[in-house]
Amino acid sequence: MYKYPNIDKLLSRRTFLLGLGKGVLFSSIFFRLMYLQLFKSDQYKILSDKNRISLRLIPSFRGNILDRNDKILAMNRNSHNVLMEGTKNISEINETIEKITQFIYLSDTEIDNIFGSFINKKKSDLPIFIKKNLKWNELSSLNVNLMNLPNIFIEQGIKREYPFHNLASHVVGYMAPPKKSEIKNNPFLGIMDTDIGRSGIEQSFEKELRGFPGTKHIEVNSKGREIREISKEESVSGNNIKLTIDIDLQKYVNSLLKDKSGSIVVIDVNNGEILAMESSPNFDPNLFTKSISQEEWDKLINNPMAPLVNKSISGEYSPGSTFKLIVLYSGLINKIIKPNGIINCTSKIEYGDRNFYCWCHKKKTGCWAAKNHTRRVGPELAIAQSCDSFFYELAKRLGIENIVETARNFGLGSKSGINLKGEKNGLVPNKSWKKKKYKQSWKIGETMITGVGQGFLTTTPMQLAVMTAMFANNGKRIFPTIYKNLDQINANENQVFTTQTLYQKEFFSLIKNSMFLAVNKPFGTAYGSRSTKPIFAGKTGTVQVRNISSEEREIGIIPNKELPIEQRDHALFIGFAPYKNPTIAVSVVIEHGGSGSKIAAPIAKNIFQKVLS
Amino acid sequence: MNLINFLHRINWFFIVLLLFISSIGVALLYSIAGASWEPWALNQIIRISLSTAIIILISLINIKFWYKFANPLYLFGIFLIFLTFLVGKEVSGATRWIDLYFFSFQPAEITKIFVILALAKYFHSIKLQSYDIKQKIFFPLLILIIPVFLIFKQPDLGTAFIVFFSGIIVLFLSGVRIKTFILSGVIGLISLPVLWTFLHNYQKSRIINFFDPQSNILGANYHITQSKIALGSGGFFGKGFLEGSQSHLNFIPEMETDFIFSVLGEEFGFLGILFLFFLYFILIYWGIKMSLESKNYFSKIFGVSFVASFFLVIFINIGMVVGIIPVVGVPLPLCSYGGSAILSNFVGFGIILSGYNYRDHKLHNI
Repeated sequence: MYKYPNIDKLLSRRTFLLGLGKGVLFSSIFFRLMYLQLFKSDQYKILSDKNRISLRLIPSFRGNILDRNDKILAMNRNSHNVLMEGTKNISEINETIEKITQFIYLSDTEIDNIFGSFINKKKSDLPIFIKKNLKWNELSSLNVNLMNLPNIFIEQGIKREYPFHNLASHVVGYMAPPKKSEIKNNPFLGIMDTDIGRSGIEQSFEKELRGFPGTKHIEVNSKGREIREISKEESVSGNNIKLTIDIDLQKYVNSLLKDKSGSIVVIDVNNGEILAMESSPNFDPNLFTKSISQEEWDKLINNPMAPLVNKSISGEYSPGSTFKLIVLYSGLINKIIKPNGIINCTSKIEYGDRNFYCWCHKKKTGCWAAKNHTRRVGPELAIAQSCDSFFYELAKRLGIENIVETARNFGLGSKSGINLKGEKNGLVPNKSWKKKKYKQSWKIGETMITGVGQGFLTTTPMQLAVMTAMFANNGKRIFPTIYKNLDQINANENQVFTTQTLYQKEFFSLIKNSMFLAVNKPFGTAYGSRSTKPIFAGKTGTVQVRNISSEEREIGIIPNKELPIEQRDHALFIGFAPYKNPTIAVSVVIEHGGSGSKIAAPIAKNIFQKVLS
Repeated sequence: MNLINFLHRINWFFIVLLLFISSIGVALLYSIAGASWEPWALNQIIRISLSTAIIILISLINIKFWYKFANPLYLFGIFLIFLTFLVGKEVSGATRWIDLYFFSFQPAEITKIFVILALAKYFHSIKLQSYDIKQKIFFPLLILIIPVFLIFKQPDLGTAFIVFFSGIIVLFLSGVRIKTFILSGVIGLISLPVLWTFLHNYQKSRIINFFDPQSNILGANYHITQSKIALGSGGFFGKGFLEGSQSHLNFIPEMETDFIFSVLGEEFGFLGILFLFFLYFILIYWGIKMSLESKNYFSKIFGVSFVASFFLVIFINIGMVVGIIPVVGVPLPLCSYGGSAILSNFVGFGIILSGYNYRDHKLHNI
């Protein structure tokens, strides 16, 4: 059996062997370190800098939106956003939310957004937004407790603010986060984490307003928190946009539409500048800036009065009796009726298998009040009293194509060219249109109905304002504009009157005179709203939105008051002032408001008095 | 013998060397905290001071004491580990700590020393009785396996591994035949797949990550990637004290404990690392030299084994930091933040000093 001769000697030998082993292990570390620190050092230095330095975009200051008197309608305000350090761990987000809700309120939508941005994030070291635009009390309570929230930090941002809230909200528009498809087209939007214009000027002039983002190199820690700035290239601010809108007038106009659904457009008859443009009800664009809640959004979307729709350009309404101006002008220019021509009117016309009633049927006025319910009516009286029978007959004699041509010359049936998204064409129907749409031929009865502004015909309140302004300025074609500081190059500039409707001053004088009579003579439809300072002229319109049967006509039409709201007539009024030397024109449309003379005309009177006295 | 004489015996050079290495750790902790004594550096200084008092005390105690109480201490160590299962504090899925209210204590560290003591005593007594060592392999293995298994179950893979190999080193030094080691190694390799099933998922993923580092660069392997960037970007001269961007910007995880070496490499470069290696070398050399000067086998075998185990921990920690072995939670001796490790290393070297102080004493079976 083997015996160790000397156990101490054995220990020394084994210690030596162990030392050799240590040497081998040590040299593996040594060579590894030489490799890392001497040979690969440059490569790791780059990686270390990449870790350390992050390129961030600096959002540019968005241009302000101003009214014609330089009052600020949309501006930037410094805001404070609270962020958390980037993480790969969803439970860390849960913990952070739990902690931070001790100090600030987070809605369910906001919490959803936090998780949403966590899931969508590609680089996990980018910080996550917890809440934007902190209120002052939230900011201070967070600041006090920041020591207990090590992964939370507060960053300054810019938020859009609309000092006038609801006023001119449809014109100014609002801002909201970009959609996925928009980010796809413009990847910058995704990186900058900025809102973009969603409607109105904010949308149409997005590029001019936005400016160019700057860049900065910052030193960040492993969680994406900024430690210090290394270099910076400033952003370029966006341009200011000055509007033709007068916010004081807008405010007044807004008050006139309180609790109503409808539109008012106030236009300069000489250059087409829009002084006020109100669509009611409206909304507060500030709601969107502070990230609108689902509840608030549902309220806006489900409101039957459609607060988000700009009715001035997107609402298509039958023009009703206001269209009679076009029919009369067409009759005069086409020599179908002479300025002193007379038409025999009755309160009821039978044509084909249909009855055409005048509004005066069975009422103590108009043709019905005359002997045999018949009387001789000239153009001025026909406008002043809005005699339907006159225009049934005149339209029948004119034919639809003549009426259409005149209507188009006054800007109906096509976009006004105002640079706001969502503008509608309206509809000026003719034979080929009907053929195409319904595969049916045009009927004379439809021409007659068009003659009183009903039937297929629709117009926007903006188109009505332009049309009125053109009557006021003796037929000068104008294009509405809301930008004061931009030379608006209008694509429609070369659109001129066709030879059929050459400039005929006496016809315009006649029509303006008849509009004067409508407002200022006791027999006129808007006499109740007359004004001496200024004296104005106009035309009422009451648009039927339901079918009235012959039986109801004979018994007596149910008054608006007794109908459910959605079946009541639309109330319209168009007019200009001062009568002698017109400067402004207005169009008023009140949805389901009732009669044009009782509801719409007084509103117009108030506007004229506000602007011109 | 009076106190002056007593103190005169102590190898002060060795204690100063220990303190010097420890203060490198303190400097790194100060840097990591952003040039602040809080929250680590000051605590570490307190622990080092306490441990210094303890090492002086231990070096003055006669080596006989350690020989006499080796077995009770071993049992006490096992008791402490049992205690962690009963009243242990759970930190990231493992119960390794006993919370003593005023400080937390990780008993596995000190148990390593008790295991080496127990084994050293065993072989010392065998030598006295002139038994054939190769026949006595079963009992020392049992002494070793019990605490290793318990530590493994805590679960603390790194420490279990270190305690196991510290024991193996004692066996090796005591003269167990090389052939036996080779045979056991082969058996060990064969039984690896069985051991694999005992591992926790996070332990498995660490090992998988080690063999396929590109698989998940932002996942579990993030530690190693960032550590290599820190070391590599430090280069030859380093970025300078307090200038390490990887460490100051929190890219290195657990940099105050397991990854403190990468902070050293980043701020002081290859040169700084060489300097630390030099200090470690002197420490290890002196440790072995002092141990072998003793006349009793117990001191010799304890000293050489403890120093070897000390080296092993250094190797595992640095090997992990430079990415040549998997990530196991092992601190860098004397430098990493943590009281248990500092204390047990000081205790271990204290016993070596005691053995050196009483080198002329012969130990008999008690």
